[in-house]
Amino acid sequence: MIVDLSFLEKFTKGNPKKIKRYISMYLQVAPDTFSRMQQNLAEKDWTNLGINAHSLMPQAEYMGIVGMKPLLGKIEEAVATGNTDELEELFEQAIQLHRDSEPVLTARLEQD
Amino acid sequence: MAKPVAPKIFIVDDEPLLSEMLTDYLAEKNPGYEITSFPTGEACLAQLDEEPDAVILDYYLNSKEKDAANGIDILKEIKKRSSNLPVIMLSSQKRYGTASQTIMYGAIHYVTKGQDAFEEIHQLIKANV
Repeated sequence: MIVDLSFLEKFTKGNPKKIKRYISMYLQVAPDTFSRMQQNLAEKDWTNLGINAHSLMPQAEYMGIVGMKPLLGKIEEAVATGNTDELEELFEQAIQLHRDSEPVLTARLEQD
Repeated sequence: MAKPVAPKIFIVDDEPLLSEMLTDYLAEKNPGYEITSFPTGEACLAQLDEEPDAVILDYYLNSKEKDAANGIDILKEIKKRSSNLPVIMLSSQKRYGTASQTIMYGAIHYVTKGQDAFEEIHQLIKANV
């Protein structure tokens, strides 16, 4: 399972309008955040890479994207501890997970 | 008898999804709350003369606007202007140092963003407003 929407279902008490509104908001923000992270990586702007990863963590958790929050947490931690050699690999894993989750969330918008 | 005034809650977070979800949650728990959200701390400070009853303030406020002040600086400014105003700090970080720093500067509590954060914030508002 790539996306587990059980938290969102519970939080909204199954309200389809709210679920769609929240998913839409995430889908508007997440691609831009990943683009900024890619740019941060290219420019070796570690501080902003960590800030962008940090900002996406709770949102990915609320969307139920399985494994995304720990990956973003590892990016933030690697920045904080100066283990920058790991960052490219961690980012590739995170953006792949984003690419996998995007169609699942988009499909949810078309339900109901 | 005077009509009770609706508690005024300010939410400051640069992530619109979190602000929206928290606003919906608090409004459902207490439809009497008058909730206003701000994407930056500067925008919140500009409205502080409206005398909110509590401020929920994100620790990192510069993921979108790099020049925006961070949560700690906004917390210090709020406490300078209104020392008794309850401020609840929010962050995804679970680090003890971050939490203790916010308490040192006058926050009443530090809440880690996660699935339980919404109810925790609601309880803190109930206890402090």
